[in-house]
Amino acid sequence: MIKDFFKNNPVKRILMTSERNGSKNDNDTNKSNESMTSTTSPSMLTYSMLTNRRVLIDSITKLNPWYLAKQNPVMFTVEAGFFVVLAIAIFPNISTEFVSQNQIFYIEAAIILILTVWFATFSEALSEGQARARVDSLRSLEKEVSARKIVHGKEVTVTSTSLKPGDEVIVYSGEIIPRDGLVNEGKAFVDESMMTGESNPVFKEKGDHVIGGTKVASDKMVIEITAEAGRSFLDQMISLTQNATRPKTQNEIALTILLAGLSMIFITVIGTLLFLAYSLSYAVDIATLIALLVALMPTTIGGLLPAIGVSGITRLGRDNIIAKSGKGIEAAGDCDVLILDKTGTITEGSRSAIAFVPMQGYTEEDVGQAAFAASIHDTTHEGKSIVDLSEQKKFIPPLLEKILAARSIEFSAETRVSGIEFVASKKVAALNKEEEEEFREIARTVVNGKATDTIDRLEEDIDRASRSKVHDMLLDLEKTKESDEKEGKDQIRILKGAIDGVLKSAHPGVNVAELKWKAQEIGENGETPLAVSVGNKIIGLVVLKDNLKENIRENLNEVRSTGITTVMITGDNQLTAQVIAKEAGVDEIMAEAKPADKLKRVVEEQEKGHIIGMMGDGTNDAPALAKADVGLAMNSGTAAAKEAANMIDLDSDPSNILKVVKLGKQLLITRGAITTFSIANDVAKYFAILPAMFIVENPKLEALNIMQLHSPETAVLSTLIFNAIVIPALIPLSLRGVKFKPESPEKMFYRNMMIYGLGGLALPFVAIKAIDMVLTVFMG
Amino acid sequence: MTYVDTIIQTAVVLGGTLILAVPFGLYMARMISYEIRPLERTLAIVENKFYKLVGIDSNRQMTWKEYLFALLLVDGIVAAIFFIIVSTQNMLPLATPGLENFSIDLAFMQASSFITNTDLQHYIGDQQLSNLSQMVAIIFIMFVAPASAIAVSFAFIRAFIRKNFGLGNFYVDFTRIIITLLLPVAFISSLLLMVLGAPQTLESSLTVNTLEGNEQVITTGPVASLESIKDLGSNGGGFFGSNSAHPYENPNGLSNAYEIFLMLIIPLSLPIAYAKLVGKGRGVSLLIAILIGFGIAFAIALSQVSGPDLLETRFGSFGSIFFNIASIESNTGSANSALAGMSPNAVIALFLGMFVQAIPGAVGTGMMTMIIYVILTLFIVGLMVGKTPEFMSMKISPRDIKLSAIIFLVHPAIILIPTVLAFVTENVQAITEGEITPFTYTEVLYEFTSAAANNGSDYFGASADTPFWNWSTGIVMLLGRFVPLGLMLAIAGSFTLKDRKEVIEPIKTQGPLFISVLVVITFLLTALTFFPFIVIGPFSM
Amino acid sequence: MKRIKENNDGHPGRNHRGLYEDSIRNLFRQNLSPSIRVVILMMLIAGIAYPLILTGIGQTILPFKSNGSVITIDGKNGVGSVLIGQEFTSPEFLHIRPAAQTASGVDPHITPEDAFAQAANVSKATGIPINTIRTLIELNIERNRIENLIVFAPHYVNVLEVNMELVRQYPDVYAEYATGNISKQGGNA
Repeated sequence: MIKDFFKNNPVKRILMTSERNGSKNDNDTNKSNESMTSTTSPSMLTYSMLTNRRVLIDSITKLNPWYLAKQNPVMFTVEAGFFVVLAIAIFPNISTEFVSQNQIFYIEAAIILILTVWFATFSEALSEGQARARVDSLRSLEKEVSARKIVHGKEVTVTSTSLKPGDEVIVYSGEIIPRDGLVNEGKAFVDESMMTGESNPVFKEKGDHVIGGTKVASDKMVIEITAEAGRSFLDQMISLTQNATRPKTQNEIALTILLAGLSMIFITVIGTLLFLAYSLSYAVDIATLIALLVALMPTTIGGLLPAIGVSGITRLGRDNIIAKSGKGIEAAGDCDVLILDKTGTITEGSRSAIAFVPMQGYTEEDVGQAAFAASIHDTTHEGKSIVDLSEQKKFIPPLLEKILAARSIEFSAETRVSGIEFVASKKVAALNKEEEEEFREIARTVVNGKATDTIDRLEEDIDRASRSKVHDMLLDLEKTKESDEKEGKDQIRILKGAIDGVLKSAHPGVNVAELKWKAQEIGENGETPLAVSVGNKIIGLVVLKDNLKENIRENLNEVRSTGITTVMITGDNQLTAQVIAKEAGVDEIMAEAKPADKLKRVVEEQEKGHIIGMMGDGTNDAPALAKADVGLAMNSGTAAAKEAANMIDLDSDPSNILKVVKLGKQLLITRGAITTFSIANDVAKYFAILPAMFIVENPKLEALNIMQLHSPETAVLSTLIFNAIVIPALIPLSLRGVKFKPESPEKMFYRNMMIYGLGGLALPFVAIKAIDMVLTVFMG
Repeated sequence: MTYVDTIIQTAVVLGGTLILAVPFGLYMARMISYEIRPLERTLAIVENKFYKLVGIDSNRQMTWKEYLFALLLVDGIVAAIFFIIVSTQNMLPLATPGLENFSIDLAFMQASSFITNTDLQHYIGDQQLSNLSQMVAIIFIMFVAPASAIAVSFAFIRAFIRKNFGLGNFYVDFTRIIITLLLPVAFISSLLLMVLGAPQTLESSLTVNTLEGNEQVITTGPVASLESIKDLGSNGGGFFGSNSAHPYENPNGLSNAYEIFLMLIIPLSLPIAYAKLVGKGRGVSLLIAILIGFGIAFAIALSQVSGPDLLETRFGSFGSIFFNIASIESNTGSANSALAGMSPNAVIALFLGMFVQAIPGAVGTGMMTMIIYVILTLFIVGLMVGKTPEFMSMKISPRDIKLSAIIFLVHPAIILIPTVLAFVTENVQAITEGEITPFTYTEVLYEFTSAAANNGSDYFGASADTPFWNWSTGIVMLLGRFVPLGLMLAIAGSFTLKDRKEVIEPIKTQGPLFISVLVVITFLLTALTFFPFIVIGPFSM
Repeated sequence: MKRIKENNDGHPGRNHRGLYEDSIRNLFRQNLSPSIRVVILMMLIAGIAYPLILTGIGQTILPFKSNGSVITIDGKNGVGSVLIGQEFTSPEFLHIRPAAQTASGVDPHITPEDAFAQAANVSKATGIPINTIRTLIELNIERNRIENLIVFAPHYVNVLEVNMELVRQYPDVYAEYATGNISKQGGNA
């Protein structure tokens, strides 16, 4: 009982602060996690993939023309070109009219062509390899384990696969949780790093969800299995990661159509050029024509498109977000309204006390002491922060022991207050010494000898505080209680809570006007007032402030600069919400919102044509999550929320929605950039190959020969080589994504146009010329 | 002509056209959105009588399929009437003695040619047509073809005004366009051309005794009434074989300038109507992009002196280039010189106009083609800002991209494949009677490009009146017209159902950056498709 | 088409083959009558009324130009159209350029340089002072310039008009060609 009491007790934390440096308990778990998490590190992955045999084998099986014809028409055309050139290389006498070069040229051209295709299939295999690596690492967790099932109160060892929903199992420290479930009994730390990457073990108690495959790090607990075999979270995650690789998104489909259209145009162009040039009595070499076709076709984007799509899901996975489909990621890029919960996303979700405001006739210290007393049993962050602030200001009330032993009044939505109540005085007194002694004893043990200081300081603080009014009141209370007891009254309470709630138990003579005025003033600063009372007297107000999340302002600024409107939803009043919104840089607020308002807002915004992103964790968020275009559910949330959302954040960090949005944008940008680059490249390729084709018969083409390449053969080969090596050169870019800089769409448009448009126009001129110079050296 | 003169002429004609395009465009905007026009009451009474006679409910909106069907039906009936008239003209009134009927293939080709707004002529109008044919067949069809295209462009613009605005009713649009737009402007323009010297008579010829005492037979007819609608409606089929080079069609420099205005006014007004209805910036940017494209083609053409051979002395190099550029870039196709008189650079510029089809392109179709370029540009570059590409806050779907891609695929296909066929089947050799040179190849490429772009200018003229050329160009013209029109209506049908967002577009389809990207992509796509064919053709002439 | 035919054999409205055929048939039914009517109406208006009304107006208000700008020399017989070139072979006249070199083949215009170059020959054949001929040419250029508002056309000379002017000013020299006063006159040739 003492142990439990300790866990949430503020005083324990006072004692524990001094030992923080000494303890390295967590280190072991951390180390064991590293091996797990490192498999998902991007650089490691890419490196190991390059030498992965599976990837190589896949990239070669993907050369199958049937596969390419279905999946990648652009590359299929290149491969068809390869077969034609190969045929000519083998049978150079096949035609005299259309075959004019020497055999080596055709062999070289054929090799480059098949390399071009292979580079494309390799990039696809590589990206799939990455996705598979994640699945494999997840699978390794899914191994069958033995479980201790509770049958009629006894532990029976069974295999995890035989468990059914409703079964209860007990899991001890160091054991793997066999399947998803709910904690029925016990409290323990659970290591979820293999799922979430979060290295610190997570505290779980009754009612919390646990994930199968995670490990209990300390203590033990009884878990009720909730998932059927094969339907656990892990299974879902695996199937999502696998399946997410295949279906194409709308944009991908549209782009594929566009690329197919371009390819068909170029096939028409080259096919007719063959006849027309022949009619004009040019000696047309078929391999040169195929080279021109391959060069013109959007091979770069065609080759890399599958890899870009797959990489999106893998990269999201690295951020510990599981996408149920690629569609959600793409929608994320389109998001232009983000509905953010204030709590947990913009603010830490916990308000902290920052000041005490006394009522007339009291001092700040009075408020601090009373608030300390009222919060001593309050395990919420708010309560702890009040105690912390009191400690910090050395406003420790007297009779600490009694206060500790007083009955706690739990917060309820009805009363909206919490605090302590002094129960029958004698009993308290009797218990008092014993408990105090026990308490001090424990404290000493915990801090292992170093306690003296702390205890001394505590006592010092208690003494120092002796002159304050509340001090007197508290001491008075002691007396009053004794006297009250005779009268049968024992309702002496120290309360803190909502103004109205506290006023209910206050003396009618309390200056309500002063209280409300002071409370309003606090509210106007975006802070929350809590009234503190001792008995029926109101001492003052505690000022609570919501802490902004670290970097939230920067994050929101980035989001805004890309044209996204952020809406903050909060139950706070308008004033408080406005202040926080201003501090964090939120565009719009929905104050005093009820959970149902979320759905309303989502629908409203969608009707206006916005694409909505939101995250949520509660069951009452589920409809809104389902309706939103991008719904990110917290893994810590309810099953309904996770079911409704199209993405699940394993870290349960609501601000991760910003990551999703960025990634979605990055995917689209990468596709657009490489497409633009690919098309812009064509200009130089024309200037390289056309003179090579016609200059012998038509000296007028000298005017187009701006690159002055060595010979028609080197011109064709260097264009083809450039065309081929661009694909592997851009694999890292397509797997990593184009760098996303938060800026306005216009700026981004301009910048990317300059880099990939103009750059794509200029680069091949330089590169083809350079390759040509190298070839000249080799070919003499 | 001095350099300054040319600048003044360009400024006056283009500036004047642009200034007049504003009231024209605003008027058309009112037609598109059914707002009150000047003289609305009178017009409404006349129109309502029409609707009653036609037997339609003018308030009934059509789906894109109905709209297309009605258009195809009307155009089909008109083409059939045309076919019948020209193949039976010697049995009809106003026929000159000895006039022959058109052969089946020529009648098919010419019916296709006029109904598709191409007006490619494999006959010599002044010699092979009766005045009845010129009026009832030619003048009439010259109203029908542009009215059909403008009607589609009205439906197209309506698709973007707001969701479910409705694409309109083809019969209503068709009637209103002819009665309240084409007829009045053509009427006034005919009078003006008559003042400038164009004849307007039912006599088919006049005979004079020349100064030297010889007998000279001069062909006349209702030239002015044909000339005005020929230019206003992007038609381009001349009354005379030599088209706008003929002094009766284009008597002097002033008529030359006025005809340039007529050819450009509707293509340049439609973007203004678009600006009025879907956003000033968008429309003006579209217009600027069109003008930049036009300017580039004009500059290329002017970079080399044309003529003096095969040019009309009264127009000179500049007047000929200006007219031909305006005519061919607007897909009117009525040259005021022989194409063979144009310099190679000018020919490249003419090709450019027919390849792009949107600088400014024909009435109706030109602006729509430019909007298709906008959609494609938005798709390619729109991805680059990390958003699903949108046009006017409407998502561009794979279907839209598919339809647009087909439009851009059909064009080179119906130019290049028939060109190859013409060579392979030796039909080129049959009419050029000589070895294949870059020039003869250019002539062939031009013939099919002109047919595919529904332009109508050509090198061959009546010499291509052979079954192969008649059937092939006839089919190409029909494909070049109705496939894109149908696809554009389908795109309109898809956009009119789309949700509009009340949000800022990721990429605004306006402003200098967008205009330049649009122009670059438009020219890049065109160049990538046709560059080799220009290189072995006009470039090597 | 075949599918439509099949439907026609069956009972209308009881077709279960799909909506496609039905909708095409309905479209035909709905549109055939209005499309024929609209075509007939437009043919009457645009194909017949429009050119005829214009012809009427033209013949009334602008008879000379509407009828081809024919000039006569004796008030009765037209000697040619101002806009149409005629072939001159005799050395007493300015000559047009060979038809093969022009686009229309019928234009009466030559460049001033071409005209001036011919002045000497005409002067030699007719005895008219070369300067007079040059002045006539100059005046013709000027007239065309003004007609074209100076900037809308290059300088050119209308051969027929210069020749007519010569005939008018030197009736003696051109006695065999001129039988009366040259006057512009409407009406048929």
